[in-house]
Amino acid sequence: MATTAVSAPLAAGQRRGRASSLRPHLPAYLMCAPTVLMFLVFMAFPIVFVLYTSLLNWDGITSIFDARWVGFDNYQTLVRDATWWTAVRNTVLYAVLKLAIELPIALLIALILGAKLRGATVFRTIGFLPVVTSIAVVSLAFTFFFSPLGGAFNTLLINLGAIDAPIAFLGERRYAFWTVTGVAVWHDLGINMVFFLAALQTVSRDLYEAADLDGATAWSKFREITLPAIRPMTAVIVMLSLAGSLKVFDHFAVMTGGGPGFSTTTMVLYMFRYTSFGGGGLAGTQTIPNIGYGSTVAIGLGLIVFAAVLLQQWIARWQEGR
Amino acid sequence: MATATGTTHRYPASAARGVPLATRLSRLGWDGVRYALLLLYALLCLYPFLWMLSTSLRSTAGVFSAGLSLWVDDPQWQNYAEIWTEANVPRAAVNTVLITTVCMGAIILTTSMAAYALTRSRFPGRQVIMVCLLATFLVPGEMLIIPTFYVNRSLHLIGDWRSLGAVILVMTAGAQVFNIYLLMSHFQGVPSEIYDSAAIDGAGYFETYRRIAFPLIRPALATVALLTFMGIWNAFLVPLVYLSQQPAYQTLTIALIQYSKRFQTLYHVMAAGAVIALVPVIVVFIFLQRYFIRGLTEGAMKG
Repeated sequence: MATTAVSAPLAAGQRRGRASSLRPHLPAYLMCAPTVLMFLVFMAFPIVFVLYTSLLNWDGITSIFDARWVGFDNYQTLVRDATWWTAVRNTVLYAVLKLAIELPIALLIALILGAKLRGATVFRTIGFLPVVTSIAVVSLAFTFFFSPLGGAFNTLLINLGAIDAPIAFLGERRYAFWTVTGVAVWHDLGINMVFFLAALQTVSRDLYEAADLDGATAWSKFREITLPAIRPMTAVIVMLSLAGSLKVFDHFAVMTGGGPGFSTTTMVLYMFRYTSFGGGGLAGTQTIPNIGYGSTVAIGLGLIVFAAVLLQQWIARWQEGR
Repeated sequence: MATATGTTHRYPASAARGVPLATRLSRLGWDGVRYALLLLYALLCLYPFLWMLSTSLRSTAGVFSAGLSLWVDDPQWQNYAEIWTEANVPRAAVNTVLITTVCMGAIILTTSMAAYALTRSRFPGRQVIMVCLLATFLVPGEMLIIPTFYVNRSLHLIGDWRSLGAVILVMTAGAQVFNIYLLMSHFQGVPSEIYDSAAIDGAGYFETYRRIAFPLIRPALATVALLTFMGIWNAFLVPLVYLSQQPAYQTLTIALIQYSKRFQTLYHVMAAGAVIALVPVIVVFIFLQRYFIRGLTEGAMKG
C-alpha cells in the first residue's frame, strides 16, 4: 500500500525528481545489495543459463561457444527416456511413501507426548535426535547395518527365524528402494512429530472440556476437534515433506548410488549422471558428461516440483472450501 | 472451530460410564501403553547411534560377528587414530569449521540487513525484491546446481582453496530467502516509535540497525545461527560438487564418504569417522534442544 503511495507521484515526476527521491533510500538499497547481488548471480542468471544450456549439445568441458544448438532435441529425448521416468517414478513413490508412513506415526507419537506425561521432554529430545544428524553420514553406518556381511539387521532376522540366509538389502532390486526409504523415515520422523506437537498445543482446551461434558468418546473428540484444528499445520507438513522428498539425493547417493541398475535412482541423482563433477563421491556411478541433457533433466525436476506445489495448494484450498 | 463446537452436541450424554476406580485403573493401563510405545520409539531412535558407537570400537574381525550386540569386549581406540590420519580428519575438521563459521556470519549479516531494510523502508523497487524472493521458493536449488557450477567457474572459484569460496557463496545465497522471511516477521514486531526516537537522537539508518534493531531481535538471530550451523555442518550436495576433487579442502562428510569408497569393508574405521562427524552437532543439540525445536517449528509456521 505504502509503496503505491510513494511511487504514484514518482511516475508523474521528471527524471531528475526521481533520482533525488531515491537518494534518501540509499542506505536501504545498500543493505539489500548483498542479497540482491547473490540473487542475480546465483539465482536469476543460473535460471536463464540452465534454460539456454538445455537447448545445446554441450559436454561441459569444451567451450560453450563451440557447443551445437539442438533446439528442443534434449526435451524430446527426455520425454522418451525410460530411465528418466524410472527416476521420476522412484522419486514420486518415495515422496508419497514417506508421507503415508510418517504422518500417522508422527501424529500418534505427538498425541501421546501431548498428553502431559512425565518425561515427555526427554522422549521428545530423543525422538528429534536423528533429525539434526547428517543423513549422509548416518547412511554410511546404515550401509553396514543392512550389509549381508555381518550386518546387524540380517543377524536380527536370522535370529528371529524370519530368513535363512543373509540378504543384501541395499544390493538387490527387490529390497534396495524400501531399505533406503526406511532409513529416511527413521531420520525424518522426529521433525513431523515436533510439528504436530506444536499444532496440538494450539487446540483450545475448552473444546475438549465441552466435549467431555457432552460425553464424547476419545475417538470422536479426535475426529471432530483435533483433526480440524491441526489441518492448517498438516498442510504445511505435507508441503515441506513433498518439496524435500522430490529433491532427495543424499541417502540414495550414499547407500545405493542409484543402483542396482537404476532401481533406486532419483531425479537429482539422474541429473548428476550427466555431469563430470561430484561423481567421485557416488557409489558405482558412471557419469556421462552431457551438460545439455543434464540441464534438461534439471528443468524436468524443477517442473515436477513446481507441479507438486501447485497441486498441493489446490488440494488445500479445495479442502478449505469444502 | 465453529464446526467443532457445533458437532459436539451430536453425542448423547453417556458420561456416566464406569465408576471412578475403573476409570483410574483404565487410565493407568493407558499410561502403560503410552510409555511402552514411547520407549519403543526412543529405542528405535537411539539404537543406531549406540550401535554405530560400539561398531567404531570393534576389531577388524569382531566387527563382522558382533550382530546386534552393543557390548565391546576390547575397545579398539586405534580405529579413531586410523580414520584421523587416513581420511585427513584434522584438515577436514578445520575446513568444516571454517565453512560453517563464515556461512553463519555471512548469512546472519546479509539476511538481517535485508530483512531490516525491507521491513523498515518503503523504497521504490522493494516490491520487486519481495516478489523475486517469493519466486525463489518455487525454484529448487538442486535445479541450479549445474549452471551455478559454471558461474563459479567463470568467477575463477573452482580449484584449491577457491572452491571453499564457491561452497560458502552458494550456500549463503541459498539460505537467503528462508531466513529473510523469518527475520522480517521479527522486525515487524519492533514498534516504529523506537526507530523514531533513535532518529531524534541523531542515529542514522545503519546506526539504528546496528545499535537498536539488531540487538532487539537477538533471539531470532540465535535461531538463524543454530539452523545454519546444523544445515551447513551436515551439508552434502554442495560440498560434494565443489570439493570432491580437492582432497585438501574437503569437509568431514565428503572426506568420510570418499574414505568409504576407497576402503569399502573397513566398517569399524568408517564408524569411528561417523562418530567424529556427528558428535559436534549432537552435543550442541543436547544443550540447545529447546531452541532447535522452537526454531524449526517457527520456520515451518512462517513458511
